[in-house]
Amino acid sequence: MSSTEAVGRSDAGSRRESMRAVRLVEWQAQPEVREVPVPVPGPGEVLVRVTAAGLCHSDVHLLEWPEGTLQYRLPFTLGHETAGVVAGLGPGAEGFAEGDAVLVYGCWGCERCRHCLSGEMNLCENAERRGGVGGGFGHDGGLAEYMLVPSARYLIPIGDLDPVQAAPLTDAALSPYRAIKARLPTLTPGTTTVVIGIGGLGHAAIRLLEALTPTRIVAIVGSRADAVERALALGAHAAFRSEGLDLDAVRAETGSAGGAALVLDIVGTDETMRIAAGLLAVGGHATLLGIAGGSFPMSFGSVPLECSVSMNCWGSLPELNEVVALARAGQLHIDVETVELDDAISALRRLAEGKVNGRVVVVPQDRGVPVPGRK
Amino acid sequence: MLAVRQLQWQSRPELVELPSPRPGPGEVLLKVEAAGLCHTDLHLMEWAEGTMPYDLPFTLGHETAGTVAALGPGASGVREGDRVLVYSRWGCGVCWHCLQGRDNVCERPVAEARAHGAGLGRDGGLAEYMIVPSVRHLVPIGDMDPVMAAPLADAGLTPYHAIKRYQDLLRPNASAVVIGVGGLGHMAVQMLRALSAVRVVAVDMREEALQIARDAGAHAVLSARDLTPEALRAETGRGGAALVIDCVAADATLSLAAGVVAMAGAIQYVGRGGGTLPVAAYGLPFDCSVTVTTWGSVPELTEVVGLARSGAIHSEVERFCLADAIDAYARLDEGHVLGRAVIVPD
Repeated sequence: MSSTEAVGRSDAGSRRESMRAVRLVEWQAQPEVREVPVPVPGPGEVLVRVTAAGLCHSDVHLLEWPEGTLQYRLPFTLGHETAGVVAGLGPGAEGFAEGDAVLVYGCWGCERCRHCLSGEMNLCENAERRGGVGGGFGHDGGLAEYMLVPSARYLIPIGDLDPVQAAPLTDAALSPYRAIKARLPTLTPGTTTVVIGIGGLGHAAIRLLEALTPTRIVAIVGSRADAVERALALGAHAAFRSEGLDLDAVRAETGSAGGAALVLDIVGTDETMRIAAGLLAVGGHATLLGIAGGSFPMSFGSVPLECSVSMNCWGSLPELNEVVALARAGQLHIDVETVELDDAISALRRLAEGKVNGRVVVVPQDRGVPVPGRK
Repeated sequence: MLAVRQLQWQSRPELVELPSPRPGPGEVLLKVEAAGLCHTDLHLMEWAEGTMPYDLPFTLGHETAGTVAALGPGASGVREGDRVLVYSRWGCGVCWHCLQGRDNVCERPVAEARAHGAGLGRDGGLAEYMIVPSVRHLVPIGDMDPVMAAPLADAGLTPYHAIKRYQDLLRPNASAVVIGVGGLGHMAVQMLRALSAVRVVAVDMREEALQIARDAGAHAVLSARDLTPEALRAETGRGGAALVIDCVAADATLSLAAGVVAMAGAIQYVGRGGGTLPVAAYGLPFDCSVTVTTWGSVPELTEVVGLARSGAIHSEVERFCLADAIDAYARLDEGHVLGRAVIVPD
């Protein structure tokens, strides 16, 4: 390695010194847009200029949790769905060049436990001890103009994929993808999959099921006036409102199986978990992806026999590569609306109020520099 | 013939004299050589009317080995004198699951079938003779001792299925915990040893059961008295257990299971202790699945028989004659049976 490479290859001369970032400064409080220094990549690190950053319902939950729920140190920058362009490489960081369009995998593991060794940093056994799961969860995330990524290993090239489309893949698509992939052998023709909630993850789940499986898709939706229509437009074969839901009417949609081979509960209240348990076929599986505080009572009699339930969290690094491949092949489209960085906080409020279709993606305007990849 | 019949709900079964059955079209008549007693039977006796839509009376016994005594018109595939084990979960035979031999997840609603199978709504093996509705439910056992074979039908099959479903978790650097070393638990310990290189930790309240677990090959045994998840983790390793097989499934054991299971691990709810495990965010490790299991498939039962015939697993049994079946149930209820109680009608 030459001496110039050893001191890093970031364009320090032209690089700005400060940037805007959406920071969580206090628990149970609204985040704030603050001016902070643009980070400098240390050994092995990569600086990414953010071109798109998705807002997630888990951000809303994060804002509501009292101090001590998670062992994260404040302040940190929110945002765990980030696409960008490589803007600088720290000493020893390899595999990418400045200007490369990339997606940031959100779970930054210890790289040593058995899960990390198989690319499942979402299950890192040492995440808590290391101060957080990744960017936007304990470490500085992507709701900023620049973001530091600890290793080039967490970057996935996206080529000419629109970064606004790419950003939500890292969670909104990856989490349901993992849940569906784990159950693919059971989602045969004639089966039914129920998707509860059609927000960011839910709408991606419907499209993923359609792209990957022959299963019949039944959506359970909330109270918004256009929700049933929207679920059907997304690709659901049938849709029902959760309020006053007649479980028998839903089961009638599932044919001889008498229930769903897979239920994806993307809301996670006691009420939706009760619906999930009530719609399972014998031998079916419920994956809980919502974290609204509900509890799924697992007992002999609470679900049909041979049913299983699990609570998933994101997906693995190899799985994110698979999701990106699906999107680049044109088989997975995410519904997005874009806002500027300064509007991220009001957009989070709208998300909390259920007034968002698909995903809200923040596109930081880089003061006159065109955003690569945007048409 | 003599048969142990459930005549009414919420009562003990009775030993009664019945006409010996004759096989109808497609059916097979077995002379029962051995029939295991299961904890499920004790639960069944306590059920209030309507708990299950079974029609009374019926003969108990869902772990039956016997000799083919006669074939009904059209029945073929076995011959008189063949020794067989009965797969006792009788599904519809035509749904997607049954077509794969997975009668344990038959789609036909029990309200319609009015039974789950032999000894569970239909006449089972606690009798001198038994009718099996189809050769599809028979697994040949060759020269194996029927007394050793009978418990395989449930006490063998159920833990085997629970283990096989998650066999990919059983890495050489992982641990598995078996809670409750009774009929199913002592088989689970042996199967984990036979099928994997996982470290096996067994938990039970009874010192005799822990000795059986040691003999079955458990690497470590722990008394369930005052056992904390932390103490259990000292044996499984800090990451916890990749697989927990809870053969008790009471609130306390499920809570222990949740406290010891590893991230991306699995809890198999096998026992019928009536406990509830609330699955909630941050209550269980991520990617950990909890399954309420029941039986296994017909192909899996042939695998269990293969495992037993190879000598890799061995049923710990206590023999009783048919006339003592009611007393044997009482002993089982009091926790005084080690391994499996098996009725030998002769």
